[in-house]
Amino acid sequence: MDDLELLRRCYAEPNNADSEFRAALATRPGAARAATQAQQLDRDISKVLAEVEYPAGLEGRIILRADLRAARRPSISRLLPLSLVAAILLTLGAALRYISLPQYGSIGDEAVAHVYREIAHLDHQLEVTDASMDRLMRKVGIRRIGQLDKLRFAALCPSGQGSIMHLVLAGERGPVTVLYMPQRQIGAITEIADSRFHGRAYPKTHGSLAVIGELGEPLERIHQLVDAAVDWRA
Amino acid sequence: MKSRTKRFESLVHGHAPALYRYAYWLCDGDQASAEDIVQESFLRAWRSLDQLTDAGAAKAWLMTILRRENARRFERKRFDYADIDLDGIAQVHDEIARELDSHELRRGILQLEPGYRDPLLLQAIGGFSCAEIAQIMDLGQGAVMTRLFRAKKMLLDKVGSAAVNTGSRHG
Repeated sequence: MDDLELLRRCYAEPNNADSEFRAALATRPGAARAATQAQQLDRDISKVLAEVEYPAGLEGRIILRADLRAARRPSISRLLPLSLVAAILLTLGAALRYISLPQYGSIGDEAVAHVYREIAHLDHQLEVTDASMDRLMRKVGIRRIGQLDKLRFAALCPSGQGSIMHLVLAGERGPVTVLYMPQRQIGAITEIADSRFHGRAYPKTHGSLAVIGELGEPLERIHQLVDAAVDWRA
Repeated sequence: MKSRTKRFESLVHGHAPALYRYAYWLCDGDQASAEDIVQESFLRAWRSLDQLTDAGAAKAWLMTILRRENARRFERKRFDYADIDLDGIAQVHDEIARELDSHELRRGILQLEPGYRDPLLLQAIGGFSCAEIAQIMDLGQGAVMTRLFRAKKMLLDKVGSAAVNTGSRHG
């Protein structure tokens, strides 16, 4: 094994147990030092790469999305356990987040923070079946009574106060986020202001509904669309 | 025998954290994009679950799916990756990484070209050998070793001996 090949192996895979490689290291101190340096570098790299904040509730969202996608198939009945597991996971995720999440000062802060945290969903174009919507709404204690024609994403998200129903609908100026927060009671319609988005939170029978869109988006139209499709008293 | 649903749940619980970390670094530290491609990858895995016959090969299988998903996403949104502000990314990371050397190493990893960064991630996050990385990336084993060698040399050059010198920091 020539020096260049030995050096390449030292850095590429310093822990390789290949006998020829180990023997070469034993007889060439310079290469052994390079291998030691490479091992330390590998530990440093692994440590840095592991310093990534893992999103709370991700596994629940993955399972739920698989469930939603699979629900479009005729063999939906065999996937019901998946829904139950997803619900349990989301509930657990919500419980964990309750411990660690900051308490938001207002419903507007909480809603806008949620939009930014899950901003990738604004680009989604999923087909959401009526059956999936029915299940989602049941989980947050409401009932679907009409169609949501402009719907392009739907999911349950964990929050500090329980599950939030997260919808994205097509608006006139872009995607509009609709969040139903069953645990969050407000006394009156509340304006939501942000540098990129604007919104409005509406009191409902057992919670509140936040509608958030791009600046200039006519929100009342979306609110009326959702309002007509949901029985909030269920 | 485990049901299809149970198998999928096991995959999610067993591999989602590693897949997310891999995606995070592939996406230049963009959390939203990383979560997006992880979710898309698992959806593809769910649809193709019957193709996975060896449970021991699950991690490599999932990471291969994720690499393809990232490539598709990269093709769709190539313009998003132009002129990445690495200083900006590093500044955000700085809040997490408290040590300067860790910060520099992060920055160095983000500055690596994808062809060099990818095998490094597969080795450090996936725990794969050069032979396994060669299979995942559809490359020769020698090519993988060369890329890993160059990637690590580049990191050493960029970070500097003070940051990763074993004698000064860890001795």
